[in-house]
Amino acid sequence: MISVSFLTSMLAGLVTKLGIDQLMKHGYMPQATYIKAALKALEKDDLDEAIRSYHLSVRRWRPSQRTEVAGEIIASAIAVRIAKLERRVAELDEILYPRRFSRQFWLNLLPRNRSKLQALQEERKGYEEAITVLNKIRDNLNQRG
Amino acid sequence: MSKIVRTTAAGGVGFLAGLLLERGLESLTGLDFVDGLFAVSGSVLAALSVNRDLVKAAARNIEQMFGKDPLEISEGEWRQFKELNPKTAEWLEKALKI
Repeated sequence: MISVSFLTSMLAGLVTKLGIDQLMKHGYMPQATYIKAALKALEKDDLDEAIRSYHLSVRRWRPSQRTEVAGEIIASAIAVRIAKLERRVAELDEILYPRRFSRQFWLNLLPRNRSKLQALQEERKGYEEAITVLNKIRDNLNQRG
Repeated sequence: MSKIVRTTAAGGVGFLAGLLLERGLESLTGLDFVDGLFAVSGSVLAALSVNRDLVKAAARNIEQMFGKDPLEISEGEWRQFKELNPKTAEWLEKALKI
């Protein structure tokens, strides 16, 4: 038979857990908690979570030097990713849209290269989409940050 | 003494129940319930270690930008980084006492 006091303590533990979850979720925990969470998410390459935590860090607390630095670090990480993707798109463009009468131009006309070019087109499309998503994420950071 | 043990055990069971509830709700609703009780102690530790984390994150960005260890970047590269990330550079200079 479980005693009443045991059940009461259990309930207290449960309420504490749920209460803290809510405090955390609504931005009431100390600012450093959210900055740390944002940087941890960034380390895991989870940009959405990083930005969500960053926004929580300034939701109820005044922006500080640390939040400004964290925001800049996140923005910079996004910019680095965009730059990498743009470089790859430029590389693909040189193959897909070569200068007229260049060596690549003639190579692209060969039927055996058709499927390869199609695959590269798909790859380029994927990178373009990724760039669009990253730009949206960056806008989201700047708008609410 | 036994009272403390009992209270701790009950609190622990309560926490586990909360954890189970959280996981259950997560799997049922797909909502993201933020991790719980350890956040209290975590927040204290976070305040202490967040500066180090900022430096580490900035160093990672430098590494990704220039493809080399932050200690190996040239003065020109540092200036470029500073231009793009003025607040971070200022923070790093202060933190590392450059």
